[in-house]
Amino acid sequence: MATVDDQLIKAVLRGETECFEALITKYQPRVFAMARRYARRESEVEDIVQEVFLKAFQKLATFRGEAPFEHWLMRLGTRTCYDFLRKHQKNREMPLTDITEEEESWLERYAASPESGAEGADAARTLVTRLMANLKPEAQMVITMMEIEEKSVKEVAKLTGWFESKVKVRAFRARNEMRKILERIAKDKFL
Amino acid sequence: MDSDPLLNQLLNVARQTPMGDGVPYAFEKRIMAHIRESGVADPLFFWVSSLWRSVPVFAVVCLIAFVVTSAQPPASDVTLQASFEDAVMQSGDFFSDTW
Repeated sequence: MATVDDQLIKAVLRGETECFEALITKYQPRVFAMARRYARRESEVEDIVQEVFLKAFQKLATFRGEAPFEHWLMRLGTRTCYDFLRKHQKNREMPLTDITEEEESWLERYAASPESGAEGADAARTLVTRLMANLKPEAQMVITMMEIEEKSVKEVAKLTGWFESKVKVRAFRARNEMRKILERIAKDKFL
Repeated sequence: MDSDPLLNQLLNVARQTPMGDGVPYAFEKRIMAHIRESGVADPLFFWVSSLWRSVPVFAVVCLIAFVVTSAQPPASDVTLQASFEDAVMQSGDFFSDTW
């Protein structure tokens, strides 16, 4: 039995372009949430989401219907986010020497009492953003999907198109890289 | 101090921070406007893009046809050789007839 998405897709491929709007409306919240993991500015998030849907429209004829449309769209979205990270790598780096007072306070509090880590969550989030911004694009992708979104190796492989072995190697290296960056930030003062 | 617990704590905070799924007002209309402007709303677009995708297939078929026909000796050469031989033989017959 054809789903609503299948019917909309068939209509678009028949030339009823306006039916694509219903697909955008349905899936844009999910695509926005994904893009916000990788882009800091809202203008960049909007650019990513727009590109995802434009690509989806252009490549709609290649959708074979073997998996739900949402999975196909999220795969396209993941690769668009990865392209964005690669394109903007230089602009996204946050200097490790510029940590804010709030971040320093969080690290001090954590060094004194690790169980206090839950306080000052905003500072912790900024620290994570700073660490991630200094990772290579593939490391950012794999840390975001596996450590933060808690996806399995298989799911990450399907979304990115990488082999599972490659995902595992990248996950291992990404975590090491993050650890080294964190040690560089905190070495002199807290570790 | 081992940095792993610190890293885990930071990742835990990031995990507990759901990304907002809010959408700007009428965002889907903006995308549709882009689609219409860029000309990809044309129903012929899908046909043309399908034709473009079949170009490599035609190229391969042409290449195979070229390779196959190149491997065979051209019929015209055989004909030319036969004509030349005929001409030589006929000229010989002519001279023999004139004796």
